[in-house]
Amino acid sequence: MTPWTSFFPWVNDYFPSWVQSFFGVFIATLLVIVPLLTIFVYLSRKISADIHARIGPAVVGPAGMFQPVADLLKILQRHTVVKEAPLAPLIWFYLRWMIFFSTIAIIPLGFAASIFNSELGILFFFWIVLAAMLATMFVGISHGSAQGWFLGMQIWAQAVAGAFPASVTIVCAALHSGSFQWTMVVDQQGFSPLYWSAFSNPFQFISFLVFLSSGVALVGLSNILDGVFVYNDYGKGMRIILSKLLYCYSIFLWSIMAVILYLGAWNLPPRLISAATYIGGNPAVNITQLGCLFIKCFFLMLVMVFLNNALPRRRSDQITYYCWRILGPLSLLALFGEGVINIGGMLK
Amino acid sequence: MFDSSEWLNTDLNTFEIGPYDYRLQAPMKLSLKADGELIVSAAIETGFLHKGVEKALEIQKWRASIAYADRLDSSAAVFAELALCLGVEEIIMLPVPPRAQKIRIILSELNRISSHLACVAAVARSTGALAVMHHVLRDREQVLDLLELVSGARFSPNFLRFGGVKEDVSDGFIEKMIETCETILIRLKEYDKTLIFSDTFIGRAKKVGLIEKKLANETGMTGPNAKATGLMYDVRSSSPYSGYADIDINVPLAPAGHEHLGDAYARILIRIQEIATSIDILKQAAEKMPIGDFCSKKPEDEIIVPRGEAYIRVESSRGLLGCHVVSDGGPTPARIQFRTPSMAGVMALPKVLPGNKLDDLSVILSSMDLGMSEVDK
Repeated sequence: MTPWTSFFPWVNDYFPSWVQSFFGVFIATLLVIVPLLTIFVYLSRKISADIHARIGPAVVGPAGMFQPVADLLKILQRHTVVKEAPLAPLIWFYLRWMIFFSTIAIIPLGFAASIFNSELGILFFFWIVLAAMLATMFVGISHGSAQGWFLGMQIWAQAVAGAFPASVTIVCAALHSGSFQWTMVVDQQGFSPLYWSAFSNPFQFISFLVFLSSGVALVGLSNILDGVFVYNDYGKGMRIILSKLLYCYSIFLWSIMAVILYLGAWNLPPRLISAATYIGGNPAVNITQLGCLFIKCFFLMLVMVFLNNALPRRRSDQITYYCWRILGPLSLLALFGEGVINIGGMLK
Repeated sequence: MFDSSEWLNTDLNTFEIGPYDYRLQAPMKLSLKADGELIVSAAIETGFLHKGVEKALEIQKWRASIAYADRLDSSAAVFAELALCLGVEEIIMLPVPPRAQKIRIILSELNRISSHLACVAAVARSTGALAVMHHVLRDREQVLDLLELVSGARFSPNFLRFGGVKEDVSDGFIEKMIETCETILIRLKEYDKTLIFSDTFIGRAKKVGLIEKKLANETGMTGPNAKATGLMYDVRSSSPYSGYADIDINVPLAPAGHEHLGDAYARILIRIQEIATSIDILKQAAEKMPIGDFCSKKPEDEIIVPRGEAYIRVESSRGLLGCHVVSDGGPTPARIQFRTPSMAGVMALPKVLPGNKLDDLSVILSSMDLGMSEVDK
């Protein structure tokens, strides 16, 4: 049984598990991911406008709330006015998009709302992101231009540099919780910040900071090629929407990983669980967990938006250097420290 | 000039960038050869903004020519107007009232601040400091408001006249200008915190687009780009014109041996310092503003320019702007020719770009503040 069906137990009687998973992904995308990203797009535009001393979206709907929807409709009506793109980069473009969004199947959206709860869930998640980066590189390389090659290789170099400290910190977090399974990682944490992994010991805190920083290096990548090729070469409306959605989704992805690994995930205070159970049973608890998870996730996403808008950007080689020379050793230090603590715990 | 150990010695890639590209500040075509991400050689093609300004000036009557001089460079229009007016005034030996001279200084310095702020915004954009870019543009609006208050136009004011200016400044203008100056001085400190002294920005701009003093000399580079190399030349102090002799000018200059000498960072620093200098000049001009006429003749009157010629130099926001005015005694100019400061920057580019990274291209170009409009004319 896939856990999400606890909302609707009757589906087990009618559908096989693969159909349940398929509909799980569909429902999660439609009811959770898309509305969340739409709200995020609106909030990020408002916040960045505020940082820039601009008004931001203000025309469609109260306080411009429906501007993302209006923009969506507007962009969909755009026509291609330049040459049609070659086939190979387009294939990689869509493949990258599919790889990224396939992670919807393994995003844990609450204790009972994970569509696919693997024992290697954390690593699986991470390698999918890396595979998406590989596809991003091929978008550039298959473009058939020197610029495409150059950007493709540059992106891969930066992705590998960011992936190394990220993978080490994931191992560090798994070492702390004793498992690579999402639910186990969450179980090891509590609702209070004092019981969150990030604040359990100094090494986990270092690990948390390194994970976030490497995320900034990694998720910003998905937009680089789009800036060069999608808008210039084959800027059809749907592709632009997909690119923007991908960028927001990659920020969402990294934030939700950080929240689950380090910030207590969907853990709620016992009283709140009791209250939710009293009001609506298990579905109410699951929805409250989901809300808790997304509030934390949103906060991290907005921090990323703030950093993106408020500070100058480093050059690609500077980011690569920063990842290898600073984040890499820090992540190894965190892993070493966590290992020592674990051995100390076992000896006791 | 650059570390040759970074060369990969691979096959060279050719990049054709432009005439319209997000990395370029204005239309131009760059043909770059790169070894990996290092630029090995660069060639530049210009002319995409050619408007035929000099030829158009020859078929306009003298008074109308001022409006055409504006089009030399819309972001620094007052300087071309001023150079043309000074040239014609020298031929016909037309005196300019002291009040008009001070108004011209005020307009010039406001235009200089506006132009430098636009450059700072462009550099902020090219380094991804979008918040700073928007804040700088917001402050620039206040300066453009002042230009609008005086002349009725934010760009291309067409406000100077032979023998003075079109109108006197309105009541309350000086007070508003001083208020804006104080605001911008505060903002300059904010830019220091958010951009200039930011580690990330220093990392992006230091040792990037290095221009040596020798190269600046060879290409005839002037203005902030030359001052950033340690080359001291400013027309306002070396050959004062239009009342600048009455004003103390503290010309900023990159000190010899400075670690940022000649790089993109130094160019931005010099521009920020020039804004402070301009504010100081504006305050002095406001204090010393005499009472009197704003034009030695009726501004709307057509003039007769006798046979003769004059060559005038003014310090525009980008450097030395020369104007050669020739009259054959007819109703239209026989020849008006401009020596534009950005041309030197364009000539230097093929020697500046090699050794730099492709990613730094937009930082280099924006920090040099090349006005392609005045280059292509």
